[in-house]
Amino acid sequence: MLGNDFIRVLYIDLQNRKADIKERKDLYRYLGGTGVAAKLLEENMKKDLPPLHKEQPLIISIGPLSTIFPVVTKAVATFISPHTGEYGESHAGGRLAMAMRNAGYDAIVITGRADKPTYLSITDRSIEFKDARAMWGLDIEEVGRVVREREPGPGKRSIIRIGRAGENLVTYSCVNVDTYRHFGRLGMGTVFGSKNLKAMIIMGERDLPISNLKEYFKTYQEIYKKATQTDAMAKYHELGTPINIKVLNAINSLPTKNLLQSTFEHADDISGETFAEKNLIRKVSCTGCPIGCIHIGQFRREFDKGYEYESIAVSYDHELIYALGSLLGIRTSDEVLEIIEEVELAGLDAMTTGVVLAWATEALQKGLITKQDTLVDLEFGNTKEYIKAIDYIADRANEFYYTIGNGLNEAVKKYGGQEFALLYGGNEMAGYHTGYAFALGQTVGARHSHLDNAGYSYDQTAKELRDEEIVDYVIKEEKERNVLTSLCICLFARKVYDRPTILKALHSIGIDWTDDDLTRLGNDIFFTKLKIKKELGFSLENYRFPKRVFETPTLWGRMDEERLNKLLKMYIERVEKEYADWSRGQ
Amino acid sequence: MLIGVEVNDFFEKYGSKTGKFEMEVEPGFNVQKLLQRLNIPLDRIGFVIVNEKRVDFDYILSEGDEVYILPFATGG
Amino acid sequence: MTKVLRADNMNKCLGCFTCMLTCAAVNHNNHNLAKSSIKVKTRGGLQSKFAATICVACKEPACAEACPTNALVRRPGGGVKLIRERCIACEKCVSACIVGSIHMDYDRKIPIVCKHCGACVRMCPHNCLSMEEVME
Repeated sequence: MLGNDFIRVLYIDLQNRKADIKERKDLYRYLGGTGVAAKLLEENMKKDLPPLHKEQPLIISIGPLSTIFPVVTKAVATFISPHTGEYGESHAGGRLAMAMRNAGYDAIVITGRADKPTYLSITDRSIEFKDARAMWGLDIEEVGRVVREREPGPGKRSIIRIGRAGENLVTYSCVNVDTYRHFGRLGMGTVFGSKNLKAMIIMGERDLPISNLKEYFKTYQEIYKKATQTDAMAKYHELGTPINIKVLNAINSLPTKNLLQSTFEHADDISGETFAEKNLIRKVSCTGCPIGCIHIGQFRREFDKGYEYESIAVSYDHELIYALGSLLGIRTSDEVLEIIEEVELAGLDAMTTGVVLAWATEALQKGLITKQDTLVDLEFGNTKEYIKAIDYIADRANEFYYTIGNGLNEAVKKYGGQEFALLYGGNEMAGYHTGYAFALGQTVGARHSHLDNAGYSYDQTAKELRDEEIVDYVIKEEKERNVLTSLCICLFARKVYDRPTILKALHSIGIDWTDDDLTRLGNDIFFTKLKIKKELGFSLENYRFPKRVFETPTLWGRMDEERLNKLLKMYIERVEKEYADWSRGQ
Repeated sequence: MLIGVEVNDFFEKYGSKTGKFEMEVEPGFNVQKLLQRLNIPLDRIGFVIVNEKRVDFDYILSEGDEVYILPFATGG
Repeated sequence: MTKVLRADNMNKCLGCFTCMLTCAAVNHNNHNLAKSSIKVKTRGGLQSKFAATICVACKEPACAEACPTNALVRRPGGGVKLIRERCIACEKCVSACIVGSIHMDYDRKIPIVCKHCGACVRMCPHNCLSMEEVME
């Protein structure tokens, strides 16, 4: 809590429609974000109950620098993932962090299951459990509009909500945050659905006096300048991450058609440059970020004959163009946007949806499943059929769609095709087929996200690949990222927030931490998450990579299965040893 | 000798010439010299690809080479 | 010559709210952007355009006319200055301002009025805001 040495936690019990607030001094040493959220998950989770049991908690946390420093925009959520059955963590920007800050809550812990569909309205002076029965079944856009019209506070509030997929417990449902941002991966939307929670609106006008204006504002301006006037972040504003499409395509790293290829003959037609030229209509920011990386693209759709058109705008970035574009063989930017819109409205995670559909397309080709299962002619490049399939996933239209609605791990148990199911560590692949560090990184990362440790970055910048170095990089980078995400700093700003800058910002609001404290924090969080994973039964012993990832060239040529297995073994050995040391010290 | 060059738009902000074009260079000309002539800061380079193969800055160019200059792919 | 705040380029707005965070900090020593005089809003949902509610620097300020205690006095160039010790927090100025630029700070029991100091302009990353020279 700003100006105090405790974390102010709001506990919400949906079952009994009660709330409680605790000032937790003991959590202060985890600062906020991923640190506090992981710790709160550890103490509130029921490891012997299923992920969607009503007693399981859902946690959202912000950090001490949230909103009041440039590009410190994220809120971090933790939960037991219904998708992987183990540690679940997801980050989202938008206005949520600002709204939580202004309402005066550093963290929110939600437990229980409402006895009927409910939306939560949280302010600094009220907690209300409101009837959402009439909202059940509404898409992301409609539920946003209804809440917006019913509740006060335009401009100062955050509205987060789920779509049909979350209600139907598809395991990779997202929570939409303020229209353009998401808690995307690992099924936080599913957890919302399991709690009968359709939406949450939060806002506040709490008095947050500044303790030392001179020092604070001086530091603020320095960081602002670094973020806006150097080229540390410019690329995120200009073309944004879709700049990657052309680059990855040129270096055999753009997963295409279920990774049958790593270059795409239509890459130029769905490149960041093409989107900017044909579709980009505006850019927007998360609250407190002067960069503006959210790219909004527009396409038009003829909904009837006789020149009947509508125009639709959705946000796009690299991961979406990969998962719902190249991976499905989609050939135009308009069509990619059309698929994105469907995924948005249904409330699904874009990356997982794309990977699942790509697998299903190949499984159909290979005869593992039939059209009786898929109901549509899934084929690479066929936008119309994919759009129907997305609806079927969200609606769990038949047994097949029910199964793939639980992710590829479940799908391959029933239908086979494990060798071309693009999974790393149980989670569907991200859009960088760059080589060993990416493959290892997503597999071992605590949330099986490419963002846990950015192996794709190592693959690109390394002059040669050394096994020891890869393992070392992946571990060090994940620990360092735990520091950044405890502070809820957007990872795009990681070059702006080096250690001295972080310490200076903390100091200016009265938090006198040292470099060693931050190192200790990164390490503690790393092993706290591992502890949670172990308690939930997660292990990488006997883990097997899908064959497909070895068949298609990366930037470093075809990966060697033995070498990747060896890297994984080296990683496990080193981390287990460190974990034993850490556990003894606890 | 004549080479084909494509420079990613990313480098425009450094005052580099971008897009696809042909260029006349002396025999023995290497990639580093090419980047300097095109005004591309070396520390902003991700990849230089010649005839679909990644090369280093000291790679010596030959007649008809197709050079593709790109930044690194980024993410969070 | 004196200067007043203008928001003529809101088409460029990213919705980053840096202007509000700056105003709340610099003028009201507060981290909560609810204390900001400039208020950036969407015209209805994030899919619509951004707009800024600012003090338009009236030459004949209705807020000052409505104030029963002369706590708001006309400033050179337009707009008003708050004389805090005269304010009784009656909120008459809030409803008198038809563009909605004044709102109450219930913690300090004063209306938040724009000083036309230009801090928000300096921190806007996209040149949406400007200070315009006007006759006194």
